[in-house]
Amino acid sequence: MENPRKYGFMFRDKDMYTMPNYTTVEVDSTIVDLADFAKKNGHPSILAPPTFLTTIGYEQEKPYQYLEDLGIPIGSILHARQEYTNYEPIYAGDELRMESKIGEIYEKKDGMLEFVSFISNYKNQKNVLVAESVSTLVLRNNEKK
Amino acid sequence: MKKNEINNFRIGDEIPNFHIKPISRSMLTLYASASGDYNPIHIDSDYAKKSGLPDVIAHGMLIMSFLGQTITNIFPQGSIKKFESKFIAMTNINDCLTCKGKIINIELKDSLKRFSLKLLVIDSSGKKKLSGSAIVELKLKEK
Repeated sequence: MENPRKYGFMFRDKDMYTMPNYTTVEVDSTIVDLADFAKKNGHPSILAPPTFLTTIGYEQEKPYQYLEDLGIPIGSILHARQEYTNYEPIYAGDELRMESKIGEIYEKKDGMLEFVSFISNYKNQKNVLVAESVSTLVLRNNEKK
Repeated sequence: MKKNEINNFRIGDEIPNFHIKPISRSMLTLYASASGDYNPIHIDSDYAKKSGLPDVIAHGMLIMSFLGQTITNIFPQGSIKKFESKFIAMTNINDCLTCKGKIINIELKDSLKRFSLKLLVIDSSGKKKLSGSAIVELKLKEK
């Protein structure tokens, strides 16, 4: 940053990096009530962790019914991919509604591996779209032998 | 977390590694309860073997949740706009995993600073278990 004139690099204030706005909270004792702690730090309540939405699908009485309906045995599936796009924060106390549809079905390795993707959206109690997800499962068709 | 650590990040920097303690059966049972995913391939050895697996395997989402924690160890929770993972290999009992993240792009857009992260989970022999990416957005302070 020496001799800017000589090299022709003149930075104005607006060319500089701006600092993201966030607060640092130092915790030096046990937090007894997490929700209360979150509220005192400016949140409506506890924020859901990044992969929390995976639990929504398991809330139903028979979480694997949708696979049974598709004729997929649960012992033969593995998770291949997972993708989340978040639009609004999710807090403890929110009521979410999940809607899913089949995205794609495709094969690899001559049908030894069969992939099914499910596209879901999540709306909260205000009917606001909070997130979308794509979950891809893989069926191991021949590995049982 | 050191103050202003986020502001010191430049393109190409790595975020601190997150080391996971060895994967254990109890960890998988706890995650099954927490997530509601009671697929027996994660909790029942007999069932796992019958399904052609060597033993119970970890939930992919448990490993992805560790990766999520790797991000939120540094960035504020709630700033993650996109988060994706590809599950490359099964994680077995006793695997020692390390989660890694690298900042591959930083963009300033409107009043936002957007970080693109490339993510990876490897075991102690360096084998890739999971690869992923994330986009983290932070509001900029008014000038």
